[in-house]
Amino acid sequence: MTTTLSLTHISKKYHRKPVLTDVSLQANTGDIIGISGTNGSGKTTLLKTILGFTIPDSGQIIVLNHPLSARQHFATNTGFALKDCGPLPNYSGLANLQLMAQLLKMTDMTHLPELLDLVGLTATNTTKVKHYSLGMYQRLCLAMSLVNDPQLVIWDEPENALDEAGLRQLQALLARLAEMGTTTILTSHNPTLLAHHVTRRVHLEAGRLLELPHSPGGHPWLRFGKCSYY
Amino acid sequence: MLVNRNVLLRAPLYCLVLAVCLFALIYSTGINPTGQIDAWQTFWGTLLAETYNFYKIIPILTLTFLLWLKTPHPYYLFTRLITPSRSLTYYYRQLLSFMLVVLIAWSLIFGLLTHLLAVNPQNTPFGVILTGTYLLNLTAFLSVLLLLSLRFNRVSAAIIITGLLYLDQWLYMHFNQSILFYHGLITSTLPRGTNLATVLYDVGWCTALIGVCLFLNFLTLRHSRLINF
Repeated sequence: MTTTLSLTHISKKYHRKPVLTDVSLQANTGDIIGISGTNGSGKTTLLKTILGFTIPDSGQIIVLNHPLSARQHFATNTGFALKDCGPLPNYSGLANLQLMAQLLKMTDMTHLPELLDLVGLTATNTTKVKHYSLGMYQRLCLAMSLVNDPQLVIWDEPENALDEAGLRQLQALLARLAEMGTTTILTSHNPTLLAHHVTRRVHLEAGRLLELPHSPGGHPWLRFGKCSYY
Repeated sequence: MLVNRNVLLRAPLYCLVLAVCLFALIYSTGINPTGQIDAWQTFWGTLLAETYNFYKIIPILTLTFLLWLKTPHPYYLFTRLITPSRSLTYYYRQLLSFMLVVLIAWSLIFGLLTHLLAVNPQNTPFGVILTGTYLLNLTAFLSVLLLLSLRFNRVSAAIIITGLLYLDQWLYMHFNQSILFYHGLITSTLPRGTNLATVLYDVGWCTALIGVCLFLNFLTLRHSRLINF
């Protein structure tokens, strides 16, 4: 088992307000790390920092043995699905995947229809993305993050807008990624997803990262019957 | 590539806007009211006079350039612009393609003027030199504007560049010195015509300014990801 991601003492402030404080995290191949936290606790900032879109004030980030720096801006061999960073609206789902593959300089695109199938979309659907429902848009974002078969996948609230079937597909996708040895880091507000479908759980509170003891099926919300997602 | 699909789609519109604006300025000044000036004098007389007034040609160029600049899509940024030098190339390619658009628009207007007015062959060398120095000055100006838009946002860049131009004018009026492109440079080239030393000074100054901006832009891109989503 090798280390895919290493965050060491990451801190970030926005307008003098600390968003991330001394965050350290290590992820190994096949890990599925679920990050929970209240709105505004810094989850998305943490994901953007791992990817390289946000520069930390201090600390070191090493992704797949490459430290992110002024020379190496972004994480390599990484797929991501973040809010407000989606597919091009005037193209179909398949065309978006093809564009993504072109950006990544991939020559073999035969797996793209299958990838769409995995997230519950069809390659023959020529509807432009601007006419997609929120759920279809989210599914396409997930597919786009997997175009180049990345070793590290970063998803920001992947369950957003997904229906029951979509959630099941997401769970199957997570299991498949873990099986393939892909490291997945996701944020979520879905207790079931965090309780049953991740291998490690961390909680962000006021910019600090706390490792939670993980016992699948043992989430307190589930025990007290407060989960209403399904 | 300097000319890509995105540039080809937008270039005709920008060309048209710039050409119409320049022709409107020339028309409002009067096309050969005395009957003694040729196409070169009409073209450069209007363009330089309007450049010295900050409220006409400079705001048009500032606005069109800031609209022309495109920030990269996050996926493009993540997969292609992975080093500061690649980001720098991405932005300077846009700057150069904008210069190309300006050049085409103004060539169209000059072509139109040659149909309306005579061209004095004696003015041609001076006209060609002015074209070169003006384009170099424009590149320096756009480099400063690019730097400001990268460090701040576009609205702030437009406000700051206007402030800098007035500061530059004040410096020129009170101390006969100019940092930005046109006061000390083109004005000193104009009265002396094809004086090689003046032209070289102008070229040297602009090149140095472009070089400084290039370096500062590189530093900016090294320490910023220039994306907010």
